[in-house]
Amino acid sequence: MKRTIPAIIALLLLMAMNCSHRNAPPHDIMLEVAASMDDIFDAPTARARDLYSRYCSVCHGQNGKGDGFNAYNLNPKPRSFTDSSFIARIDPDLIQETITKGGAAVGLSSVMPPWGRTLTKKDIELLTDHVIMLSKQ
Amino acid sequence: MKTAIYISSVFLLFSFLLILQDDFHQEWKVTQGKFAELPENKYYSSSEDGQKPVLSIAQVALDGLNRVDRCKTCHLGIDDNKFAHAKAPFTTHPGNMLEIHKEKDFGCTACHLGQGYAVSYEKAAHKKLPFWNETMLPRQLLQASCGTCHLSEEVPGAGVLSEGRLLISSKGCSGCHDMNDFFEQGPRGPDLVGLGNKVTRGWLYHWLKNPRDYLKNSRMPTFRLQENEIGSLVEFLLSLTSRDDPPHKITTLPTAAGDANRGATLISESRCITCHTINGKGGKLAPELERVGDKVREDWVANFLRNVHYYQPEKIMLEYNFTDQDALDIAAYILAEFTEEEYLLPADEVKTFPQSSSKQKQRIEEGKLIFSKYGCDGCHNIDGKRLSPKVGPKLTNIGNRLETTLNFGKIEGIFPTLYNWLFLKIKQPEIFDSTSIMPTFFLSDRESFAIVVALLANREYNYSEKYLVHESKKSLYKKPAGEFGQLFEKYSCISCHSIDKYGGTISTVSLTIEGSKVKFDWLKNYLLNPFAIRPILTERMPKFRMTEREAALMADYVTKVYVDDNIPRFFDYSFKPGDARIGKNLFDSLECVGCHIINGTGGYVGPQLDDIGERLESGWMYAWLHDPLKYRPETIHPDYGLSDEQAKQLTAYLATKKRSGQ
Repeated sequence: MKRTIPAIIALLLLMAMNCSHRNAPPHDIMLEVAASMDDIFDAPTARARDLYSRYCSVCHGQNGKGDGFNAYNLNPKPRSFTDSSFIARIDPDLIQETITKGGAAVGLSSVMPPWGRTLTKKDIELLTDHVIMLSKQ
Repeated sequence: MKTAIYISSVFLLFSFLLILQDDFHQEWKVTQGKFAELPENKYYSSSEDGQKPVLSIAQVALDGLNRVDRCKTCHLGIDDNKFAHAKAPFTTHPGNMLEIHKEKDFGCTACHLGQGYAVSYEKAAHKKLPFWNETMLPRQLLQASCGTCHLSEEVPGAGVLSEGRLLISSKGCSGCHDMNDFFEQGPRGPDLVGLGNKVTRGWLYHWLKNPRDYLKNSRMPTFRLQENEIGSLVEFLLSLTSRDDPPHKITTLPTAAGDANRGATLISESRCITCHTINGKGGKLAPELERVGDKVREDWVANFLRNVHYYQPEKIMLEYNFTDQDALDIAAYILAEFTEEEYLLPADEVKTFPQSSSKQKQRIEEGKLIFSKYGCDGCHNIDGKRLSPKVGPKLTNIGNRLETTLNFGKIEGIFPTLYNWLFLKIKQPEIFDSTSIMPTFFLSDRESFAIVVALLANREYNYSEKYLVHESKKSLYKKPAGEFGQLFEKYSCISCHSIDKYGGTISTVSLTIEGSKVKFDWLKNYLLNPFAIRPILTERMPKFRMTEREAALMADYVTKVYVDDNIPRFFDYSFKPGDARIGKNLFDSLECVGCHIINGTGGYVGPQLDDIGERLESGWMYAWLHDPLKYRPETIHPDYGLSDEQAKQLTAYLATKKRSGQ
């Protein structure tokens, strides 16, 4: 009996160690990699970024500072979106309308073309959000 | 005895009641009860007759997919926007996927996998369970399911899957593995006949050891070859010499007879960087030239430049009409400028070389076996032929592979799923088995992830044909006939331009309807003396040094054959007096100068318009202004929604813009 008790304790300890070894969660590598691929798993944001860089950044600049490579040539200069107080004062619907119908239709410069026939309503909504997002950065 | 019977009958009755109770409280019934209590759920809480709805199992049976899904038994709000803010399992499906793939037509498990029959959380296999073959696919890998029905390289809306499929094609996986036929098949590397005349022994040795030592973005993967294997392979490859002389053989060496300064001018005139990378700049279609002098034999360069299509039967590079002297001058420049260090053979290799001819023959034979063993002919033909069958296992149904059959070798601490196994395998092919002959592709985590998603899509389910979406890669393209066809081949037009969705992508100009766009005279002059049409594009056509007759013949064919019948010809006849004047006003009010240069001012986004009336057919300008997206869906030219009349007036104005004056 005197021998069995320490033996049982030793056995229990061993089992416990074994258990704790098993409890270390195995790596689910693929899902860990996926966590770093936000541009894929946050599809709307990624699409807005792509659309902006394709259609808007040539004039408004990649970061919305109104400094795209074609900006020097335009009069009036393209709007900078980095002025957060200015963007905050504007109704998002107006931003959306300006993108859709162009500057002339809302009493602004006709240098801003209409994109309503090129982009879907959904895409223009995404772009509107993106412009607002740029003003907050 | 009687007491025993009493006790056992009470026990039996009790068990029966227990089972009954269990049946009444099944998981799905409890869930449906909770659903009825949702605040969103006015229908259930106050239905017209005040009665509670009957609990029922919701089931959709899909013949063509061989699936029966009961998921909606618990996911009751899945296709009802009212439940967008409800918690799982009642919440609405995110995004608009169920608008495109309705639950009643596609069910759930075709995309999410899992056990559709089951009506409990665990049995539906929401979580990975050991030894279960089809548990639900983690959200991050869902695009794999798109690929089981969408059988094309690019699947709209499935970016990761498309990325992975394009990688599978571009890395040439089908060279060693049987892949579905929408992937690119066929040799990815050059035909190796003539290699013995082309490269130096030292370079070949180091290239086979590690291609990235010479070219950091090498398309060829690294085979983990033993030293003696490399030696034999070198011997075999160098034995692949050309059998006859090129048509215009140059026997003098560029170092003796070439003028490197003149060569430099010729290289920049010929726009080699449209396809080749030089000093970090240039195209990706052709090999980098930075260290090409370390690779090729001195006598090869000039001969290649003089006889391009003899050395390159695939005719990817164009024939430049170089004279012997031109070729020697360019070769002299290349050998002087694009050389960094000489590749020397390791000392052991030098000792065994030169050998007796019988020893050499033996090594060639050994090399040939190694060539077959590693499946080199998956990517490289020898004289247009393949020596041995594919060396890798077939992958058309790798997504069905049972996880219990995977061998993780000595690797521990990894969640043992098919996707993790594939991920590790393609990142480090020898990880589970050091004798693996699969080469290393040095893939990033992201690339590996995308490839695994694409591989998981390779599942065979016997879905009925009505669910499958094939995108045929077949093109209407036919090699043009006659003298134009020969010139078209000589100048390798199809390497950069596409026709009917076939061909290269270096040029943004597809030739399919080019004849409806440009005018004969302009095109003829452009072929003789190309320039950049768009101010911001650095890529432009190389100068072909073609004769005036060749240019005329090509321009004639293009403007007559590559046309679109819907684009009007001789459109100028429909202009009315005054149209151009109104068009000018329209041009000003639309602020076209925001993007186009005209009379010396304007933007750099679109092409300059000063000679647009000489360059473009009026019919094309009209069609384009009317509906730019129809002709180029990716264009950033705004669609102003012009009326027929306005488009015509604007065209009438643009047609007057000619440099030479009217």
